[in-house]
Amino acid sequence: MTKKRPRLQDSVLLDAITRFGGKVTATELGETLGYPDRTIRYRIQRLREKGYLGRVWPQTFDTKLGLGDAAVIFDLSDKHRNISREFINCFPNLYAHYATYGKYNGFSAGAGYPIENPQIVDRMLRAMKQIGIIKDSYVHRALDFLSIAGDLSKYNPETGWNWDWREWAKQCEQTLKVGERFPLEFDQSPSPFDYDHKDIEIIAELKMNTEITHKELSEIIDLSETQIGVRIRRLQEANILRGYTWLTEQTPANIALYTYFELEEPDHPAFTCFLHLPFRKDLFMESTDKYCVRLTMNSSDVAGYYRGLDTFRHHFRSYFIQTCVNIGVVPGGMRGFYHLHNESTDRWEMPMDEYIQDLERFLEKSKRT
Amino acid sequence: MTKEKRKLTDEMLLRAVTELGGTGKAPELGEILGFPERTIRYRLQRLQEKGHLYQKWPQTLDVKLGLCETGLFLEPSEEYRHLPRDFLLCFKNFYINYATYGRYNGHFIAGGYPREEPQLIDKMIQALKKRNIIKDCFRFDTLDFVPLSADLSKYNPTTGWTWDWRDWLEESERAIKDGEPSGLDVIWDHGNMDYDHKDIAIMAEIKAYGHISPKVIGKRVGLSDNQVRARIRRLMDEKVLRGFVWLIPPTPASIVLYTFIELDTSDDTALTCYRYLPFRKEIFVDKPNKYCIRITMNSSDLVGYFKAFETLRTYFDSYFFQTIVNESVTPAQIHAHYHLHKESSGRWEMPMDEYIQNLEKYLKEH
Repeated sequence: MTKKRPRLQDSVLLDAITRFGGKVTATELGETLGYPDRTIRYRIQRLREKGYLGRVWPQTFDTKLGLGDAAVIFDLSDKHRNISREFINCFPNLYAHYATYGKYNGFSAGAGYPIENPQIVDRMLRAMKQIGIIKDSYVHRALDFLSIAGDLSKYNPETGWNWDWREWAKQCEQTLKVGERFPLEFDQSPSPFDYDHKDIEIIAELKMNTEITHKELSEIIDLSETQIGVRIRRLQEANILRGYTWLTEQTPANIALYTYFELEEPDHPAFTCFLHLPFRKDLFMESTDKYCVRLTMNSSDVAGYYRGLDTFRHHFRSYFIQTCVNIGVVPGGMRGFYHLHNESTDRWEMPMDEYIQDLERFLEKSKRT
Repeated sequence: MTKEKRKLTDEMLLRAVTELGGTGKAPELGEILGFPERTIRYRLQRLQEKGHLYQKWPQTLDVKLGLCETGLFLEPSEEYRHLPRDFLLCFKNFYINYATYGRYNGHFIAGGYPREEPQLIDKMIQALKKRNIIKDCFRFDTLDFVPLSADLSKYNPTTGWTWDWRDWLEESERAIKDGEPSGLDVIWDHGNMDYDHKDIAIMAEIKAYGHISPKVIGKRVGLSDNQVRARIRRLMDEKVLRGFVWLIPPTPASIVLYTFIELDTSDDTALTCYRYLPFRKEIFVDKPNKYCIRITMNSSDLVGYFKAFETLRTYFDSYFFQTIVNESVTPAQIHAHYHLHKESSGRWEMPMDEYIQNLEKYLKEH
């Protein structure tokens, strides 16, 4: 007779998903927690229905599709501190936004821009400063990113991470002592990729619903199922479509910490130190000595991170940390965002002058009410 | 037959002490956790022996003893970012330091200055800036502080806090809109108290060693038990000595978060929201529109606080957060801090020029 398995609690499952920062499959969760895939899948579905869990999200690298990506932080001015977050919607190229705290306090947003026209982001910030909405800002453009899943071997479903910041500090000390260079490579000069509007439409639909079938895609986009399959494979092979992750924003204890830093030199061992963390991490490169590490974790892990970072932060030429909460997305969702790519002109159309005028109208209107 | 009693685990107890910000007294903790006081006392003792709890820390405001309190957030320059944190020990008027993150990234130090010489601190900041050790600094002087206790009815020993940030937001917004007063009983003018070096020597013992008996204190400072008791009572009546909290070592998940707030008027209605936040917190006042809220919480509660704050921040003129971790303090340091008051001169002696010279020496050695 086999031992009766205890019931899988929602809290245990949610905890596992947040600790892994959402980058985990049902099979992996099943193995870690000791339940069949099927149970996990069913329970995840239920968590989603209860509103505790977002959906699965395809991670993409859109530079090859002519679309640049930047993190933009708005430090709100005292004068406009009451401004409704809706003002961000005047800029349809800002696809997601958060409340943020840290060196800068206000909002942060993910911003798209045509790769050949990166200065529209600067124009936007200049206009906001002129109008007096923000007093300061920060931009981090992602030339490339690496997404690293949480370390399943260090996770215990009952106690959380089988990990201690002191252990991390020790590993970091060792890494710095032996001068262990950062071992992973970023793609600094992405090879050109031949794409058309249909590729972008496919990504747009996948971002709206990852579980969409090829058949359904072929009904929305004017392509056969086979053609859809071929294109998706091509996008994967070109490393544009890079795997999937759970959106954990709605998960109660989920928190994202962004650490922005400058290295003394490229591949400096201080960068390697982040790889010893068990959390899910996304590493964004702006230049060979300027990076952002996003850690998606359970809020209870924050204290240990701060303590450990203290032991080696002086190796960074500069650094700061931002916390992001309360995600909001652009009206029309990612479909609307990707359809800023115009089929007829075959270009990313982001008319910044128009957006700025919309902002002015928005402010005028909110003054009146 | 009674139901089988649950076992009180160390984790449960430690968590309750942490979530209550270290203030939980044995009877309160007993009630929440459902165990007799006696058990709680014994287990707290054991937790302390195991190193999970430090001593009890007296909360004091020494203005009436001629000693003002200040906190500085120092952001090191790029040039001096490798300088070990202990350069701060050159300034003997500061007794504790931490690593800090937030708007300012670097060090946090807390210390004092003689009531009549606030410019000593400016002098120190200028010296650090002139030598390019720091590039930025934020100063907060404690004119007064108000401790607000945790809302025990919202705490469950097995699951933690039973409230949701949305509840806090809703209650706060209603209260602010109704113009409910903050009810913060701030003492704006402390006046004077007649004191001598013995009072300060008593404070030094209590600060350094926590809850020690009047008899032991008496022996160390050269007074009888009764004299010590009478003086302690007086210090309490004068609101110099204001109660005790457990010091919790920063494990496994406790975190200290400071929220600095400026209001655009001296109307403090917006601060009413903190009356509805169930955590244990202290509100520090620098001047009528400049506040600091210190919350000691389990870091798992950070996210809820931050979510609600997005709306609440619109009621403040400006704000920012600082987290502090990795404290560095020794009982001797705090003891020595109080003994900067010299019996012979009857004054607080903090020779800043000498401290700055010490810093120069330290820099030469490193």
